[in-house]
Amino acid sequence: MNINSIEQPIEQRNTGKGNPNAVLTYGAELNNRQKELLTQLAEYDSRVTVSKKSVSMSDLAALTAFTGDEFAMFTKGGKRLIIRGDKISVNIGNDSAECLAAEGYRWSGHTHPGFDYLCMQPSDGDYSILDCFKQEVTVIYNSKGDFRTFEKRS
Amino acid sequence: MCKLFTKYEKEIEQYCLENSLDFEKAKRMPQCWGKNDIWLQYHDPQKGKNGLKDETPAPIVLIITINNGRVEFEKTEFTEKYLKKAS
Repeated sequence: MNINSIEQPIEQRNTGKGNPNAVLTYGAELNNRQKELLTQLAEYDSRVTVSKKSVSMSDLAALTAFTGDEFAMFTKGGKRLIIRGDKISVNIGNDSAECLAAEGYRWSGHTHPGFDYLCMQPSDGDYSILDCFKQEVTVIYNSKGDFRTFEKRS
Repeated sequence: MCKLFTKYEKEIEQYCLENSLDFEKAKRMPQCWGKNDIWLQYHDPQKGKNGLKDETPAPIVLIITINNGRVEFEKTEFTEKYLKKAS
């Protein structure tokens, strides 16, 4: 291979932009889509509804890596509701979860700040919210973009 | 149910039998899994009444890891309390 055929240095083509692990580990930038989302989720309990295609759980992991805050995502048809929490919680109690479920939302997942596996340990509250949505499973992502699935069995 | 749990159900049952743990209880416990491991957890609905406003972790009762096709078990401080077979 002719080295001169490389038009851009590797670091320009593979910046890790928007990759949760890169954002967490070496301070890579959020991608433009994630930046736009964060603008709309400026503070605790900010809420925004976006199209399903425009956001994934991996984007929320990147936002968690960047801010250190939890985010939760609920999906209904072609739209997603994203709610910003703080370092230890999201403002969704059982009552509000039941309201969202009655409106037809499903709980797609949420994030827990941190980079190890233990930070993805579901809480009693997580299992109760799963109950509210009468769902079998959902996921928890950490700041690196790793995820675990959990299921409340009866 | 987690596919890993279903796949290794016999090994898990055998481990429970050998360690005087209640397999039926284990099957009903909330499960949290990654690519190669499963956590069985104890869920207290009373502690979960605040939903995502209180993210205090639910206790892990038993850790089951698949390592090169071998099933390995790790007890926690909560294993005996929540999984012990009633005598």
